[in-house]
Amino acid sequence: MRIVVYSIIILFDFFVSSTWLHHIAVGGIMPNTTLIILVSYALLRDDVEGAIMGFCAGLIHDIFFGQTIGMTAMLMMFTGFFAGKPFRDFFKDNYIAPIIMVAVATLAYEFTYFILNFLLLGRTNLIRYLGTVILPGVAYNLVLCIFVYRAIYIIDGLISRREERRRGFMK
Amino acid sequence: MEFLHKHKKFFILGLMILSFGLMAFTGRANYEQGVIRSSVGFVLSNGQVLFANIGNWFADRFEFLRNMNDLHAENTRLQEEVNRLQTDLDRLLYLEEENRMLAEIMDLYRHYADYDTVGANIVARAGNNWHDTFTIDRGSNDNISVNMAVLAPGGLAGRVSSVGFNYAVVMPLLEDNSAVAAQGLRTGGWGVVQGDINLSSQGLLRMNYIDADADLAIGDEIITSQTSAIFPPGIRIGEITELGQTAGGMRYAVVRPSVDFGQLSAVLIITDDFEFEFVSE
Repeated sequence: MRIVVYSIIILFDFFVSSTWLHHIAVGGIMPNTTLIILVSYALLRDDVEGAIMGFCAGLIHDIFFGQTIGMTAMLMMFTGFFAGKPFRDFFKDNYIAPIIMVAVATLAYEFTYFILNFLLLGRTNLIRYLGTVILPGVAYNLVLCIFVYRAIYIIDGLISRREERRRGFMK
Repeated sequence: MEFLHKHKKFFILGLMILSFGLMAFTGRANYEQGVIRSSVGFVLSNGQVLFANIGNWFADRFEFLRNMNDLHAENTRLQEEVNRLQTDLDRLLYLEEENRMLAEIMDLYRHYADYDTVGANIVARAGNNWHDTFTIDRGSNDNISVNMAVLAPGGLAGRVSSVGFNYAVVMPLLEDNSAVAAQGLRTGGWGVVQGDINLSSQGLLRMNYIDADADLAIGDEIITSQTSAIFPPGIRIGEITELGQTAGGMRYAVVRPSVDFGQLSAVLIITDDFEFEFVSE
């Protein structure tokens, strides 16, 4: 049940981010919705599930757009894994944890992406990339994360309640 | 799940090794995508077409509602423009005929008219801030293969970077690791036109590795060079807007592409194969 729902969400996000998201780009900068969904999920569930989801989401992106398969998958896998770790016991209907985590995760993810895809190819103008691509992306993600986290929170709650009820029947 | 949690470290390590394996396997220079990747791409590209169509439908409705008031004024204006363009068209047809005759004399016409081309619509774009790659709705069943030249109104737009059955991914000139061997039209000075992520947000390109004795000036038109391994020679790329020198003394030029990448919605792919392989002993 949970796997099916989140597969659909990941696919939906892939389609939306490659087609519609360009219409809401501000100054050429788009939010990275995949990352927000991934971090929200990892916060609500745990690190291992975050890692699995990150790997799958990254793999889809790699298969379609990537030159080499595996780079985004690995980065997303680690993002999901580490996002699920620190806030094990936070109040899940509070926004502070997701906001902090999305900011840190986006920064870390985009920075590593930059290192692997650009810095190693000799694009050393770090400050400029930081100002024009990474930080605006983080800011946009922060705004969107409030809505996306809420949506994932509600969806996950519904699934949990359903599973609970089914378990009740079994007993 | 219990099992995975118990062996968390090994699980993560396993996924990491799997990723590295995939990277090593698909990162080879002569890698061609296999059945699995093509079929996944087939499904995904159809989904993208669906989403793009839904998006366009809404965009059209929205546009219509917003513009309802201006329609009459617009109609009058367009009518005037049609008249004006009709006159222009007649003149251009005459010029084209004249041009054809002259080109035939110079034996250029035959050379260019022989290109087989396929038109395609842009369906989707890469969903992050680092890349400008986009997907088109034609693939290997329309004879498109990797490294074919992609044209757009104005000139060269990029090259095909990967192909599925019914879709292809295009790497535009703006993309950070795109590079085209180029030369000035006026003087033939050689260089390499590359994408640069700092310039691409302004829609500009950078020409590097310029010949030390190349005579280039601001306003010069840049075209694809004879030395290019994949692009047919003589396709327009753009014009120089700025010349400079790096700290190391290398000359560079900022090039404004003649294709308007912001407004791009359809492209033309040259399906003739210009790629030649450097044979190494």
